[in-house]
Amino acid sequence: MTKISRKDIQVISRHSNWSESGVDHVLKKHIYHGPRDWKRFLSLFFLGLGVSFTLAGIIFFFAYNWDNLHKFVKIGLVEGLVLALMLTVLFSKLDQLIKNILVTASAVLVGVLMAIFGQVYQTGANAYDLFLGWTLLITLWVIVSNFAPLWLLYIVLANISIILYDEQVANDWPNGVMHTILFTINSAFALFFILCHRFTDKIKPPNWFTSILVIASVSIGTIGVGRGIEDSFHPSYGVLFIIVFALYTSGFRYGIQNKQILYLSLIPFSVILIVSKLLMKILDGATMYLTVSLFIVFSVSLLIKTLINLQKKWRN
Amino acid sequence: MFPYITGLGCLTFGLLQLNLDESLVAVLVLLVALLGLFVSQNYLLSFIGTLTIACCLMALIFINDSYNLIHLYISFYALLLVFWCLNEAKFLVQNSFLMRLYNPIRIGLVFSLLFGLITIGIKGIRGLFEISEHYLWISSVVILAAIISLIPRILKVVGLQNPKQKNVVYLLSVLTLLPTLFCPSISVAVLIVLIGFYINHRAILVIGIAALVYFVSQYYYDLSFTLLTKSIILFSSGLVFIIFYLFTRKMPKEDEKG
Repeated sequence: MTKISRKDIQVISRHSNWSESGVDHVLKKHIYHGPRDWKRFLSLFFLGLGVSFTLAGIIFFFAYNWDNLHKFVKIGLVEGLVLALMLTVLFSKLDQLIKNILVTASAVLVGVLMAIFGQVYQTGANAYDLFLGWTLLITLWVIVSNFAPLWLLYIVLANISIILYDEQVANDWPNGVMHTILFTINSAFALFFILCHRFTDKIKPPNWFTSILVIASVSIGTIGVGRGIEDSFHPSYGVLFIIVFALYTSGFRYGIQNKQILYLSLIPFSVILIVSKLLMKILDGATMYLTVSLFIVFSVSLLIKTLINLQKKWRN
Repeated sequence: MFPYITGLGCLTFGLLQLNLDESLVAVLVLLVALLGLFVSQNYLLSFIGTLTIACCLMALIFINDSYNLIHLYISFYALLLVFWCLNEAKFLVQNSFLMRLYNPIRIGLVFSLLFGLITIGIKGIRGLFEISEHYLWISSVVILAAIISLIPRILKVVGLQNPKQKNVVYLLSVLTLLPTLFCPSISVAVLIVLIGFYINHRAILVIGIAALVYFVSQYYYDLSFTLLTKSIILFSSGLVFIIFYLFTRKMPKEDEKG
């Protein structure tokens, strides 16, 4: 017998003269949680509360005494934690998922270590070398662990390092270079993870991961091209336009071939935004507002209609 | 859905332009939303209708500057939510319009309760509206009573029958929830979590857990003790909860024996 769902009970009770006690009985038997679920819930609840409160207490204790700790103790504490976590990962017999989570926690602690180093030796906040050092130090762990959230952290850190470097150091870089580099790096990662199944079986990126990478690349591409339209022209923007164009067309073709609606919705939407930006630069005043709003309304409705028809065609 | 919202917005704006008393406007919009609930059988429209009724009630409270009535609002919505969720069979069996409205009104009531919590739980908003801290215990007491009324049902499901153990559970629950007497937001969050898990509704459970995490963090953040005192309080509460955890782990073995 298939599992009875709440919706089934509601539909049946609506169209019959089922008694209240009968419905109540079925609800309690099939929908509401039984004793085992309650025990698991209560024990998880109390364990979660207990662990978080105890951890918070310990953290607050350290926060209270932080200023009085000697700098060796501060740095040594975090390094000791990193070491302890990695030794647990290497030499214990835990579940693979838990080991991956511990490696991720350890990678985050490396960042904390860099921050404490910055605080002790007063290197200044937001220094790009904190993020650069963090990225480089965890590179080996990220490659070896093959764990999607850790890769996501790594890519985010790489992006932040580039952005901060551009802001703080490379003041003589022309405008488009940062956007070009960001877009190239993000799409390189995205391409690698989408196409890696052709080369090796060991790396299996989950769907949400590749989707996030694609969304990030397309967003960065859109922002970069938009900036390029706004600013005065420079060869670096020309390079960006060419790369964006090439990747958009191949991404679109890939979406059609593999029936993945993400590419077919993101890339046209990005194109709509870019064209709107272009229109805003060319036209002026009230004509601009009217044209741009009409354009957006028509193109978005056309896009949505086409996508819905395409989905119906694929389902049949 | 959009025509409904724009219609309500136009109605409110128009009535306000007529220079009517603001409370009268709120009552009229409330009646319109209530009528909408009776007329439509659509999920989204009923949900928005429930939220509109809640907003009108809150507007009535704020327009008339009787801020302490918010406790009445929270108690009313908490009791209504408990009644609505626990009597699912009764509502489903009726042949009237309530059948289709059961689900949207249920989740609408949860959000209405959250709206009330936000005004009372967040200290900045509480200070802004001069809600006196002396009357906070009123809503807390009602919520505590609601939670304690849930406990017999939970004990029946879990299968705990030893009267001595039952009394221990009641005592421990009251003792654990007593510190939240002056922070009703935490007890309401606990109530939402318990109801969400009891009726096996994942969205309500998740909302309850998120609310619990937020309001507990906020409570400890606002607490005006030194970090050392806070750390001792947190650590000891943590140990108490771990003792509860070990107690719940011990429970199945006793059931298997007896």
